[in-house]
Amino acid sequence: DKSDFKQTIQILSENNAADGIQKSGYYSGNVHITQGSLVIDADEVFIDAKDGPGNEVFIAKGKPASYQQKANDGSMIKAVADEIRYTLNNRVLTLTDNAELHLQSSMVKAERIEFDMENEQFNAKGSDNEDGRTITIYQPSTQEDANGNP
Amino acid sequence: MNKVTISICLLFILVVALNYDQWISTDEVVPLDETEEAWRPNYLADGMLNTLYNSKGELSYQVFAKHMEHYQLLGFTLFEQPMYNLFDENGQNQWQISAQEGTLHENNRLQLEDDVTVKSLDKDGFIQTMKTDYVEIDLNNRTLTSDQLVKISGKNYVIQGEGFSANLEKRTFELLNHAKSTFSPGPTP
Repeated sequence: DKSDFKQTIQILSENNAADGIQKSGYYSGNVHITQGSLVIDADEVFIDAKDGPGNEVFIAKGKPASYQQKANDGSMIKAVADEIRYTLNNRVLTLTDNAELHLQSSMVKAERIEFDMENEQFNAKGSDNEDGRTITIYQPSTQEDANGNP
Repeated sequence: MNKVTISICLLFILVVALNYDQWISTDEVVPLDETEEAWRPNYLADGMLNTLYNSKGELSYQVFAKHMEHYQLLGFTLFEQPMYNLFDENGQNQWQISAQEGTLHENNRLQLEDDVTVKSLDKDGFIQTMKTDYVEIDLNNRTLTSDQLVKISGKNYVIQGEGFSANLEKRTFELLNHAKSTFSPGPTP
């Protein structure tokens, strides 16, 4: 939820390297990122810090990489994709390649999904080849209370 | 076998007998660096500043130390509370490295121990400080290696691990076993 974005981001992983000139960091091996209730798990994470502190971009890659966070209403938001990009300054998550987002009672599948985590809004774009449709499934809204039981 | 040859033989035997024990007892050869004399510093200095220039005559690094002892035969120099200033090719002081103890070996290999701090003097550099308790520095190509715990921090992050290698020239580092990194999200609007 909103308070997550004021908290420090913690990264656990087996390996880490950084390049001071490129201003970039690299994590690999069971990478686990947490910020409050936000959790991202991936095989490798590249951090682009060229625009200075507070404007970093975390690029997580995995088969798939996964994201989850508690929504403002207490339910869990979940997403998976081969690449999850978290831009720190506008708190947008960009999911590309086999992207899937589970938000309250809807599930979106698309080639690319941009999800504004703070306002919990998303837009999805199908890939322009093959069918390229985005699939959005709205389950009947069973009013789930905070801890997820109908 | 007239008298003369007999006396020569006698003389010969006499000489052998006298020196026999010396020839036999080969006193074991004491290697140079174990002689008691090697363990006395050739020179020592307090509150010392040493400035080194590279082959092109450019300022390479400076070292201040509270106390320093140089052992010529053993081929190293001991420092107490050394502080190194490393300069880049246009004479800019880029890095400051301090520790409680230092040992400089002949091939410009420097071992620093206890409370080692590597500080970047470039205020908006991505890497600001590295802290560990042991590091080996090759002053020629400015690379660092350590197998100890290390804490690397920048303006808004701290990275902890065990064992690392770093290149001050390229400003890169790599951790052998990364433990944890924390990023503070910086100024939130």
